[in-house]
Amino acid sequence: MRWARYIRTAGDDQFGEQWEVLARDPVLVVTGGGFDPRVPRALRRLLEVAKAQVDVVRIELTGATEDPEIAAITQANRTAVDALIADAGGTLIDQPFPSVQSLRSAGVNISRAFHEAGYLDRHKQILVDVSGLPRSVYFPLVLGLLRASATTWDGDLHVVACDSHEVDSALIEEGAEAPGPLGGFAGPTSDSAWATTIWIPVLGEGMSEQLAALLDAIGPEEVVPVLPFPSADPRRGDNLVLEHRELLTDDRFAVESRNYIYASEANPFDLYRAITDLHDRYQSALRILGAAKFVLSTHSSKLLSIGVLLAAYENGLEVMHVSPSRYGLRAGVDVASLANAGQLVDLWLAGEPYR
Amino acid sequence: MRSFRNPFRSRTSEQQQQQGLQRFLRTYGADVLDLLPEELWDRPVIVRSAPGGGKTSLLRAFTVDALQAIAARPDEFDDLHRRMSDVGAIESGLPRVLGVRVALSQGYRDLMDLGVEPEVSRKLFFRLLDAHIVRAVCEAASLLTGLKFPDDLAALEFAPAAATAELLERLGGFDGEVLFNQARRADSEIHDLLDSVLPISWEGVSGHAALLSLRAFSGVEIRVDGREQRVLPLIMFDDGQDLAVDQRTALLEALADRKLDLSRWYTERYSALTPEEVIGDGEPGRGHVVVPLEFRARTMAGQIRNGRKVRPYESMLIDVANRRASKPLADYGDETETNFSEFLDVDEHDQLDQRSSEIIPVLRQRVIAIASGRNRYQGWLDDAEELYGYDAALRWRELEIVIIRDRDRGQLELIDLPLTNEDLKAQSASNIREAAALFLRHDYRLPYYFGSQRISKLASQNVEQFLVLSGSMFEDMLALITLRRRPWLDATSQDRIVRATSEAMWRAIPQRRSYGRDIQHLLLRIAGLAQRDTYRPKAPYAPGVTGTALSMRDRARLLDPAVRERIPGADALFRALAGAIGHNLLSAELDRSVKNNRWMVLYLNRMLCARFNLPIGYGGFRERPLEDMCAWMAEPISGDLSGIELPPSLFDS
Repeated sequence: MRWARYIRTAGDDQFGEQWEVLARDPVLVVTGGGFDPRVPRALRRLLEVAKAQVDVVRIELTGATEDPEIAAITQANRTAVDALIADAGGTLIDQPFPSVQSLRSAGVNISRAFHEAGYLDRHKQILVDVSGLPRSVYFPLVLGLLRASATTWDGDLHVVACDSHEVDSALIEEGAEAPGPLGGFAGPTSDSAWATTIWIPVLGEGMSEQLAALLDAIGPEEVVPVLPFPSADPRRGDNLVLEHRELLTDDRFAVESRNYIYASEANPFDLYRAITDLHDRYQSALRILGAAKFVLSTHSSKLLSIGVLLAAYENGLEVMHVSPSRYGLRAGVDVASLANAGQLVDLWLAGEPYR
Repeated sequence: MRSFRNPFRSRTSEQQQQQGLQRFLRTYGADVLDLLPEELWDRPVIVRSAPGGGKTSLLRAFTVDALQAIAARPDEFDDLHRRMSDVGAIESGLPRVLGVRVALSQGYRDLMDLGVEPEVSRKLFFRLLDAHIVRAVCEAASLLTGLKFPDDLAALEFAPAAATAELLERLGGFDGEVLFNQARRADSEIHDLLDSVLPISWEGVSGHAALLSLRAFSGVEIRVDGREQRVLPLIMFDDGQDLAVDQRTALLEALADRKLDLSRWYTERYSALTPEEVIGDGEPGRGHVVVPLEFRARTMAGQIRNGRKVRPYESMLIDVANRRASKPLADYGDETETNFSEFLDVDEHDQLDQRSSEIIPVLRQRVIAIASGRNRYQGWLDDAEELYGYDAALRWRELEIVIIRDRDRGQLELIDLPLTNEDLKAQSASNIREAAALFLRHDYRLPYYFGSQRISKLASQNVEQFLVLSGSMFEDMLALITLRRRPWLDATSQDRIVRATSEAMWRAIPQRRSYGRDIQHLLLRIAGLAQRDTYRPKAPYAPGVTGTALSMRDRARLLDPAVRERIPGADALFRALAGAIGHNLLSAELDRSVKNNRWMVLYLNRMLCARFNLPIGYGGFRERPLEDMCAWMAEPISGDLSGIELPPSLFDS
């Protein structure tokens, strides 16, 4: 298990302390160019402590919005990041959103373009801030970096997420693309013969439609839902079961009560280990019948999603997703307070500690 | 506690296992086959519907394993067997078509985003589609002939017509195993390209200049160990809306090839069409036979097909529900004599329960006050006095509407002669009684959305919508069975479940649809308009208004980009209309002639009518000019619209 032991810091102060040391060497930050109020936060904290140059690649996001409120927040984020980098004397490169016919392939195109730009030749320390990036973008991007670090690149890879339940619940996801695998996570080809198909959805609030669509698309024989526990709200797991009770108790879902996985809401490595253990156990138990196909999906926070990413990367699993076609913010939310909600969590995924 | 299975919660068409197939065939509504055109085998057939319209189930019924099962058990699947024999899919107890379903939702569209020339993407598309068709044909042929797939494919031989031998060789050869292995390699190679998160090496990557497999399998003889199998390949492409526009065009062109000697069907949602096509007349015909499922379901009832009268779609839905629920009702509740729909058809008198003494005197007093002592209405009042229970409440409310209407007639003062029962029949009708029932729901929260007929109408010709609602009804029946009671679902419970299902459907719009909030915004305005005119005291459009209309001239203006650019809100209206029609949230009837003009009538989905307390019969609509509708959409919207009630003070929460 690659991340049996890992390095994780939680909290803005700890993040600053860690990067006070690490940022004595140059850092490349990859961030999102959207309206998520969390976008400038990690960069601001990093620049407060960095001694070496900090450069930024800002991934432009799709969704030319007609909502003036969203457009204003996006512009405010841009202005803040521009100012931070200008003051610090770094370089800021805008990587455009690719022109695609399928939103699902945008992520792999972004990742390919990132590698083609040759940043890895020039940087040994990369921090991907997933706070303002959608799953369809950061899953393939981080996967590409993990693959590079396993083969040709010997730098350090960090992922940071501003973990905030307040922001997550203030976001509106509108519309649903057809279910499909996240870029880079299609798993083995479809004609492999499987003994059984097991679906592991990480449950989140307000995602019933996506779960139902995935259920039809995956057609699992067994479902093993993940509930966040421990959680800042100890009742969150119970509430999720209540919210999704129709699906969970449904004949098609066939969730047995012993089939739930509990994973720490704040620590993605906990979920990574739980899924990897489960995968190993099933493959071992079902060996004589053939391999079990594992399909993951995540409908929860950024942090738990990273746990899914790591488990899928290590075990070569498929991650299915239903992309929204537009994002928005709930009416009346206080954007300023959202920008300061939650805490920064840094995950050191590849490089020096693992050699 | 004993655990119960809800038979409405499984999408049996998606289940591949043998047990799933049996369940699917037992519960499939064979009447749907009556909606198919007569030309099934020679020309390409395009089936269109909104999501949940029953496209995949239709294809599933024609797959080779389904046809085998139907052919083998004509007594068990008698309706299906008869219809499959009528259309020629089964003959002499054997399948005559090799039905193969090819899902188009397998990442084909991603091929357009590989960063290569469109021509290269197109070649890869054809190669990948060829691979999937070859694989599916090999698997189906194995099933038909009892070979183990893929282990026994070497025993399978495809003997091509002379003109297509070269094409089959290009796909791998005549031997099933070789063909399958080449298809598998192509699939795996293209899969890796699509999924690559690192820059792609294009060395050695190749494609097909055209779709080879359809021609290659044209007129092919399938042999197992040298024995010929007499079947006509039927390639069924499902979910065409997932293709890129260029891919869809290329595939439809390939299907239209007149040299093809095999059957080919294609399904798609309306979302595959451009907004212009959805709001407009659809695409011009290109030698295809187009089957718009909802439209056929609405219009084909009563027609004669293969010597049988086509049943109303709602009857077919009730039949599906009864089939699905039959075994669980027998197993869990020993209910072998009463079917699901009968448990919904409760006595109307039960609706008032203990409230007769509260409601009827009030209604009676109101009508007497409106009649103002006029002798003219005395006969009607005397008749109403004879009734009791719900009948009485309904009659008093009906009289209230009719008397208000009658009082407004010009010469009333001159002719104060007593009116008879015949006069009441002349001045009232079932639509006014329907309005009266709806008004009772509004005034006293009496149930209105109940009974198998109304429940099936709430489906809006959509099977999935119907199954969701029936599933919720069955949930409550299971609760009654658990309490050791018979599963009669009273009217109040049914009304509550309908309302909750309608609410859930409404709230899911932004989650499921692009521009979902724009769609909700438009629907709110239409529903507001409909409510205002439905609940006028005279019920002028009885039983009520459930839609709006644009003149055909305004519709043509909306389709014109230059006009849309000039009118604020027109683009949002255009998008919202296309999305709502494409997802069956509005149904559009073109070219309706009313008031010396021609109209595109837009009816709300019947299930949404429940959320807005509207009737569920098609009928009344209130037209609006394009500029008014655009002005609706130009209003700014913010946040979540799902919680908005119309109007908040009038209806229950």
